[in-house]
This record gives sequence, C-alpha cells and structure tokens, in this order.
Amino acid sequence: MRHTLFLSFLILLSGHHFAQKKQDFKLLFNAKFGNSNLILNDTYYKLNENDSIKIEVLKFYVSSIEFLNNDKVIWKEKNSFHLIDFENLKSQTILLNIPSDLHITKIKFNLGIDSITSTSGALAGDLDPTKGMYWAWQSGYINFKMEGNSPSCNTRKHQFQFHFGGYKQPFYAMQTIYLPVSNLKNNSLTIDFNLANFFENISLNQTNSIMIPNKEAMELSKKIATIFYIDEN
Amino acid sequence: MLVISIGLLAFISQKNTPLVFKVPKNWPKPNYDFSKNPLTEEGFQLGRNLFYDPILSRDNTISCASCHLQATGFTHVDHNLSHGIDGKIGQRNSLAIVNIAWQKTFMWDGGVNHLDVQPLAPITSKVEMDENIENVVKKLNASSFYKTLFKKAFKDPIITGQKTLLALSQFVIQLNSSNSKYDKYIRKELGGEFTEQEKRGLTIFRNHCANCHKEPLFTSDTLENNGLPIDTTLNDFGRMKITQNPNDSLKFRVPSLRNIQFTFPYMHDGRFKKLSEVVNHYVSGVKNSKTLSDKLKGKPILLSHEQKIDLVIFLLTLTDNEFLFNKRFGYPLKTKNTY
Repeated sequence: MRHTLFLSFLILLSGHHFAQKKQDFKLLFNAKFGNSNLILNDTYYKLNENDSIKIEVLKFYVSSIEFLNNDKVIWKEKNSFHLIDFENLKSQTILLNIPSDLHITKIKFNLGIDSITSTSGALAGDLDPTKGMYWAWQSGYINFKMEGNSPSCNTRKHQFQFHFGGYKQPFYAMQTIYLPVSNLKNNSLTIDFNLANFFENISLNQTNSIMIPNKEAMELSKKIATIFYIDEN
Repeated sequence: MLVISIGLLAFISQKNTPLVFKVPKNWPKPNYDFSKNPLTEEGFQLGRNLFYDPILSRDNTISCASCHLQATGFTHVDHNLSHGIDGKIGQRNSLAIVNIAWQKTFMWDGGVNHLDVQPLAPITSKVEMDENIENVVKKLNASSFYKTLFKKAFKDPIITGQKTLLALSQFVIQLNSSNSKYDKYIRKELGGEFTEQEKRGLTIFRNHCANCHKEPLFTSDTLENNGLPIDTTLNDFGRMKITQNPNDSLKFRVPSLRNIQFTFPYMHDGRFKKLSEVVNHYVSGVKNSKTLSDKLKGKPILLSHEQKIDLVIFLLTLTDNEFLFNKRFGYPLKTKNTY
C-alpha cells in the first residue's frame, strides 16, 4: 500500500513536471519612426512638411508581463521589471522562460513602475538607481525617458526632454497595455511602437520639457501607451 | 576534529555581526522595514565611512557630514541656507538627522518617500554634491578599501547603487537620540530631575506645541503650514512644488525638536537664529492663510514673557549629550586614508 502510494506520488510528480516543460521565449521591442526603424542620434526624421526631429535618448520600463488566453491570465513573469534602453541593443530583447503548451491570445505589460515598487526604497538590477531612471528630489521612477532635438523647439539647442513618471494619484503615470497576439512564430514576439504617432499628436514648440509628475505627464503617458502594436504580417 | 573546528571558525569569522535595533521603552514601532536591510556591524561601519567620505561629491570635497555634523545634532549650523559644492548656497536649511527610523517621508517638502533613496537628493543636487550615483558607484568600485568593506557587509565585492544606499541607511538609521534630560525625567532616572521651571515649560509645551511636535519623537512626521510669511527672495512654497496642489502651499516638514539647542538656525529657511524668535513667531507672528495648519487656526498662543522663557528652558532639556558625543557616530577610526 505504502509502495503504491509512493509510486503514484512519483507519477503525479513526473506528470506535473511534464506539464511544466519550459521553453525560452523572446519578447522584442522595436522602435519605429514612420516607415523607418528608429536609429538614435544620427538621423533626422521628418515630422511634417517643414520640420524634422532627432532622438538621442530612448529608454523605458516594461513591467508585470503577463500572457492571456482570451481574458484569462495563463502566465505571469515573477519579479518582472525590465529596462529597455535603445543605447543597449541587448536590453531590447526580454528573455522569458514559459511553459511550452501555452495558447497565448493576448499579452499584457505595464509601461513604467507601479506605486508599491516606487515606494520600496533602493532596489537592485534594472531597478538600481544607477540606471538613470530614478528621480532624486522627488522619489519615484521615470517610466519613459525620451530626449532629442527638433528645430520646432524654441529651447536651448532646440532640445526636448520628456521624463514621464509619477507613482501617486492624481499623477500615477504607469500605463497598462494589452495587445492581441496571433500567429506566434519561433517562440518570439515583436512589439513595435511608432514614435511618429506620438509626435504627430503634440506640438513641440509648446510641449518640449516635462520632467516632473504632473497633468501633462499623465496625458502624454496615455498617448505613449497607444503607439505600441503588434504587426500581424 | 581540529580540521572541523578550524573550518567552523573560518565560517564563523566570515559571518556578519547582526545588530539589534533598540526601540526605547514606550516608543512607537519604527517605520523602517529592517527585514529588507538587516542591520550588521559591517554594514554600519561601511555606511559610516560613506557618510564621512567626500567621495560622494563631484570634486571629492563635500561629504554628508559637511552639512550634518554630529556635534550640532547632525545638521549644518550658523548658516540660514546650507552651502555645498563650490561654496554654492542651497534653497533650504539642512535638517537634523535624528530618529529617522520612525520617519515616513524625508526632506522639508516630504518629496522623498523612503530612507534608502534619500541620499540621491543631496548627491545629485547642483548646489550640494553635484554628482550622480552612477559615478559614485564607479569611484567606489575603483577603491580597494571600499571593495573590502562592501564584501564584508554584503558578501559580494561588486558595488551597486542599491548596496551603497542600503549601507548609508544602516548608518543613519542608528543615529538615535533618546537619552536627553527629558527622557530621563520621563523614565524617572538619575539625572532626570526637572526644576520647577522645566516642569512649567513642559506643561506649556504640552498645551501649545505637542500637537505637532508629538512626544517622544517631538514630531508628528507631517507637513504643515506654520504661518511663516513667504520670503520673497526665495519664493519657496514647500510641498506644493512636489504635489502641484495649491492645498499644499507653504507646507513644510514638522522637524523633530531633539537637540534643538544646537540645531540653529531654525525653520526651513533658517530665518530664526534663536529659540526665543521661534517662540515669538508662534505667539505673535503666525500669518493666517488658506493652508495654515488647523492646529494654529483660531486659538492664538498667548504666553507671558516668563512663560516664553520657561518654554525655552524646557526645550534645552531635549539636548542629548550621549548622542552628540557618541564616538560610534563620529568620524570613522579606519578610513581609506589610514587603510
């Protein structure tokens, strides 16, 4: 009897193990400007008839990654915090280890850092304050950082600086993004975002420097969240 | 057997020495989560070295201790606005570091939400240390002295921003003052015998001041508008700059009054040099406004000349010489210069 019990326990365990067979999964973030892939620093992109723009810094946090089947969460990454920095090619790919039998129809992630994490003191890894994504005189993470220049900006050296963040209402700027997934190939998924779609909605001569949590940072964070998509082709 | 013992000894010698955070009798529970940064002697000594080391500043001239001197209750005295790198003058008077394990927010405007991340503010301030934490970590990683200390404290020689900040917390969180004459009076200990005047002062204090400067910490850890007229050369509206909310206009931290005898000048902009000026402000200088603290609205604090003196005499009982002269909190015996 005891043996049978032990045996069935073993079978149960191995069965469980079998169901939990894992595989690597690559999640890529790809920045575009209009029809081109974004290259930092050396290229001016056309904004409209008579204006152009150059991006010099582009980094943001992706956190709390989840896979869903319809609306049911079927997998979530533990301790899920990733800094995507376009200066660092490697950071644009998030390597996940997921069960191999997931049927994914939707992906969810947060753009930015949640309020609990933002009030948890000094953290490690991608959340280490040496990453240039932590404010000093007013605590909290910068969710999304984008800097560059454009002749439209009536500022010193025509610079614009967007540091979107804020963890406290009414300026809690983190955005939750859901994207439908189909045709998953090669255990990888590319999430595109097109910055042209962001800049066509704002006027750089009026909006060019946002470095604190405020109403504008909230509105622009919401706009940034809408430019992410998955190219089905 | 001998081999085992030696092995065991070697193992023990590599272990950290845990420190227990002592909460004085009848004090509230500290706010800091020690489980996330367990205190050790090695961590404390590392933090102490960092606190006294100008390596944290851009040109290696300014340390935390430049503005937070032990002998004056860990604050910068004699300057209404504290000065930092290149002799530049700041916007505010430095706060005293005392009993901060009980504090929930930091800085005069409460803009910093956790003790561990507080040092980022002075390190990056253009008029204080004008450095960044990335470069501080680079400098520390290049120092064999610090590599050894970090290895001892964290069992890992690789220095990160997180570990640097956790070590600083380990030191400053132990800067606790609870042995003033007042404390001994409360605990009915030797050396705590209050004079009649001190007793009268305590009564006045409890009637008029203790709502905000709550015993035993002598602060409510809140931000209030205490009715100071705006200094138009600074136009510092305090908390409002953080929240963008007009209801927070002119709100500043209620500071602890411990060791107040030595922490002059007073207020966020150091506008008062003497305690008598502070008392006079509350008696006759409070400016009414929409955001004035409820505790100051309506009922004026009426004190006679003698009562004002009694109150100041009581405040002097908050001086804690054991704290101000505790060698453990002073300049480290072993620094990178003596190493």
